[in-house]
Amino acid sequence: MFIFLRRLWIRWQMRRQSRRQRREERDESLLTRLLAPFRWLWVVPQVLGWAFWLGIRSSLEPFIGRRRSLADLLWGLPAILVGSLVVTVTALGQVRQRGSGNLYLAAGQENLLADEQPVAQLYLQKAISTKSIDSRLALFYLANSYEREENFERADSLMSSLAPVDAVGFPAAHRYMALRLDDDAIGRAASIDLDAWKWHLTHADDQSLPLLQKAWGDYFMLLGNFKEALTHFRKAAEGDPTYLFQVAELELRHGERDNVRSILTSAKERLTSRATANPKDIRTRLLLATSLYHLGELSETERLLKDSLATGELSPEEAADFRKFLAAVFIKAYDQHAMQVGVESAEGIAEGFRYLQSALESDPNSQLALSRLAEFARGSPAKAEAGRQALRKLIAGGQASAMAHFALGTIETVAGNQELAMLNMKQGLAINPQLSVLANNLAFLMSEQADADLDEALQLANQAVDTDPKQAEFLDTRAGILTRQGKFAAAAVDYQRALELTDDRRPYQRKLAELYEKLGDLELAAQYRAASESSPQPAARN
Amino acid sequence: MSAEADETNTRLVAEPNSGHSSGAWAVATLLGVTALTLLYPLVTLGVWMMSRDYYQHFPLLLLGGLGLAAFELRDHRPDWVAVVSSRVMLWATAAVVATVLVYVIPSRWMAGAAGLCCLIAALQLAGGRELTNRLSGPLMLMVAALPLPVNLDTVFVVWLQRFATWISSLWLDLAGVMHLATGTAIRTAEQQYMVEDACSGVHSVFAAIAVGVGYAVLRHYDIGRTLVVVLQLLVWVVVANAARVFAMVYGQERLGINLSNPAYHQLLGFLTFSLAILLALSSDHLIRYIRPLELTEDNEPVSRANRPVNTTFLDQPVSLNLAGSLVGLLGVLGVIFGTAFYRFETQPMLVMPIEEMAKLAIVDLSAGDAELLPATLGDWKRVGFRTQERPPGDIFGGMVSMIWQYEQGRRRVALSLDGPYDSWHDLGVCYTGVGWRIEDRLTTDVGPEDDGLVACDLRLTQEPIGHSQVLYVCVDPSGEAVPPPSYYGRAVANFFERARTLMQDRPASKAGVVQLQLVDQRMVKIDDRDRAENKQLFDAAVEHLFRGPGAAVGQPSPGG
Repeated sequence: MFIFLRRLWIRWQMRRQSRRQRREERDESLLTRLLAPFRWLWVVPQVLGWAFWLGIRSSLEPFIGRRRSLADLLWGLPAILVGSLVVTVTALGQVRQRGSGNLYLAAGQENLLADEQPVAQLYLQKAISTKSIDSRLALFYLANSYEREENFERADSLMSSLAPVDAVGFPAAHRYMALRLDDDAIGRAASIDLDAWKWHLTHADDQSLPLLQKAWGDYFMLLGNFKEALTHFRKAAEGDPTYLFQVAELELRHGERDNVRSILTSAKERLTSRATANPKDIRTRLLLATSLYHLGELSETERLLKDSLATGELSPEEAADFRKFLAAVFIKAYDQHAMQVGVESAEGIAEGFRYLQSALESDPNSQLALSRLAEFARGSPAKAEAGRQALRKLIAGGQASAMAHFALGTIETVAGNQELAMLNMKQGLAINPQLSVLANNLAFLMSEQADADLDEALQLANQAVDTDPKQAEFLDTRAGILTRQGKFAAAAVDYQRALELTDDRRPYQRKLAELYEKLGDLELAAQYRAASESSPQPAARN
Repeated sequence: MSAEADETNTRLVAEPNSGHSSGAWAVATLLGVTALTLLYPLVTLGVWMMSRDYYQHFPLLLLGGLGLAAFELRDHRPDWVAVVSSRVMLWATAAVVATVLVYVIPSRWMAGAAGLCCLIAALQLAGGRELTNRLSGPLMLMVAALPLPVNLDTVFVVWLQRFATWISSLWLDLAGVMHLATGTAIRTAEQQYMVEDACSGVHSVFAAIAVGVGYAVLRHYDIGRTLVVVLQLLVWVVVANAARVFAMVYGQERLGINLSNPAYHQLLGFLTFSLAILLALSSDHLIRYIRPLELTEDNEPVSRANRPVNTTFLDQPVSLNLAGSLVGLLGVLGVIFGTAFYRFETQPMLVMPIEEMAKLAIVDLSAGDAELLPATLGDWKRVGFRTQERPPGDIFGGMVSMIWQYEQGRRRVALSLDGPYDSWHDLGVCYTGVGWRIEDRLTTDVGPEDDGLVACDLRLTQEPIGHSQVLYVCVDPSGEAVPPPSYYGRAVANFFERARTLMQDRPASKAGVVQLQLVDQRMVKIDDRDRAENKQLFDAAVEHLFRGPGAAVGQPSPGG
């Protein structure tokens, strides 16, 4: 180690000496000597610069120092032209694409309104991708498009992203979310997040919109604040008379009957002018009929409903609703007749029966009409006899023969005249095979006989079920016949379907429990029995 | 150095009429054994390439290279003096190492690289640098005959598809054709145009590379200029393909001409490819004008073949002892490593036709039976079913997909049973091809516990809006899970695995693999709760289909 250090020392001394010698030989000035330690400051850049220059020169040499051929340039012209064209067109395309956001947004809106949803979605997505517009607007329209396509998952998720709870977000999306929660509140009130609903309502745009005011009203209804609800329903009704019914309902709740009448009158007037302006607006017609009905203008209601049905513009579902409404109008007319004239005399019965007949012609399964018909039979023997007389007169006069046979059959059933009852029912059904309630009742009567012809009864029950498969009572009748025939599995199927269609589940659950006991599935039977005990009572019907 | 030492370290340069030295024979033997070892992997590589449409031109390149070499050797007969130089030993070492890697990685692709190293070592041995330089053209053709590292070709192709789609989208916007381009698809109000393989130029890209290299070799270009030729050719091919896509969409949308008709399509492809080649020739002239070629006194371009060789220390001969020791060491180490880490699996020589694979699959894919999955799976309810035929060239591969829609509340997801495939199927590549970007890729256990079924969990996003979760698992004809390859997973964590796998063969599995995937596609980000619900549904579907007592496809189909 010592030797090594010593060698280094000697070498350093020698170098120093040689530098001194060189300096003396060059006869360097004092300045040069003073600056000597800093020489590297300019020597190093000089060397690097030189090396860089040499590198550049050698790199450029192939471009500069070699012989060029003009032919190469000429042959290269197509590439220059096409290349320039491609670059220019691509650059212009890029500029055009970036600036086309509004174009695509407008096209998206246009197709959205034209109900061309796939195309609208395509253009709106493109509008967003250009990044040259407020993407929130395009996203809002996109969500609207998915909503119109009934793709609610996408619509809701997009709107939620635009209108988050606890953030201001996009006001139009808050409006959507508020209205969406309003829809959800129907039937699922308990699961609604009221804080979120209030947030969306508060931050929604277009607060004067009747729909939004109606949503506010529903919100306050859910909170039990009827006063606030009434205020908002009134505001909603200012823009849209259809909300006057909610106002009337709340006024009725407060016992303000006079107010209710004036509100209904106002509704009638505004809806009449709207229906006149737009005769094809089915909803307005229905609401106008509702206002007329509640105002007691039954003949006007009947005319309006019949006119609407006669147009043939209603869908099957709408027509069914209108017919049910028409039946309700006749039943109300019957009730008014029963109250004012009475249905004790033969004339009164004949007149009242005409109303019920009209009601059943409009809605053959109208329970309200049928129950009033049965009242003839359940009344005093004198009333029943008066009913018989009136009905026979109607049949003899060629009026309402099928329905009159049905009513006569019902009176005879209650009176215990089974044969006469069956005869009338059969005659009624023969005259009008579409009267499913007749088929059902006849099947029930036949199956109750001591020596019942169950096959024929089943045939009639099948006829009733085929005509109206969603009537729990018809399914019940058929299941009873099948049970008597020992066809327990088939009967269980009918009871199960009836169970799914009815509010009053307990009788069916009990019957199903008995059937499954007979079928040997005791665990399922126990389940039905337990369910029948815990099933709620059906709500009382008006 | 003394004269005695000179005598001992005999220069391994055999005099022309004295025959070759024993050192040269040792190296030649080593190279011969290495070449023999490479024979089988090279044959399987060739068979694999012949099964890909876009590589079927490789025998032509090999033949062209051999022909060119024969002409060169006829015109300039070499001295055939075997010199064992450092350069020879370096190339021989590279050949041996690459050969060992063929069996260790394992990689058929590496066999191509090893074969080239072996060939160059042999040329260096036989004729030194001069011979190697003279045959640089044929060697470049052989390099061009090599495929891209085995798993890169698909990625490269998809990237080119997307690039061509993007350019044509810009042109369409300039022309006022309203559309949306996502990935490799262009949608207009009227219809959707998929930029399929042929259209995007898989064939034309690989053919262009071959043409470019061939042209450069005939022109006696050096490696740098050859690369420039190939690159500019690729640019023109992409431009030509973009033009083809533009022409198809514009023709249909504005002029009402259906250019997707096969006859028009082929004609358009031929025209655009020819145009790309012509423009590339023109560009080459332009480049030659900008950077002229170096010419000899006879006005011939200076190339490696006619440039005087400057020998360096690498060309100095090595001693017999050193050469012998190195050859022995390489041989011994090669054998030790090759046998110790041997993982080479016998790959099937021929790719099974898809119809044959379908017969082996665990599910009868042609049945289209909606009842393969039940009406309810947990809280999910089946609300739809359809089958989708997959024509050859479909980016999702396979032959058919059975797609079920399941709904839970307002949520709706799709379960799809796809296949058949010859091995594990990378859905990431498929979704990338249709415009999705992979945000994350994970693995997760599915099905019954301790069953070893590993599924892949892809998290995807799409411009302008779109989020998706894709869960998928592959099952072979015997009902065994086909696990994802070891590189599958997060990119950073698996960087080295990915690099290795670029060259690696796919794991061997029985052909006739089917794949079950769950797709949850949204407009907004999918939260963790929904992901967990998706996983539950996927678990239930996997258990129902492949596991559990009532597995729908518990038994292999006839012929399986």
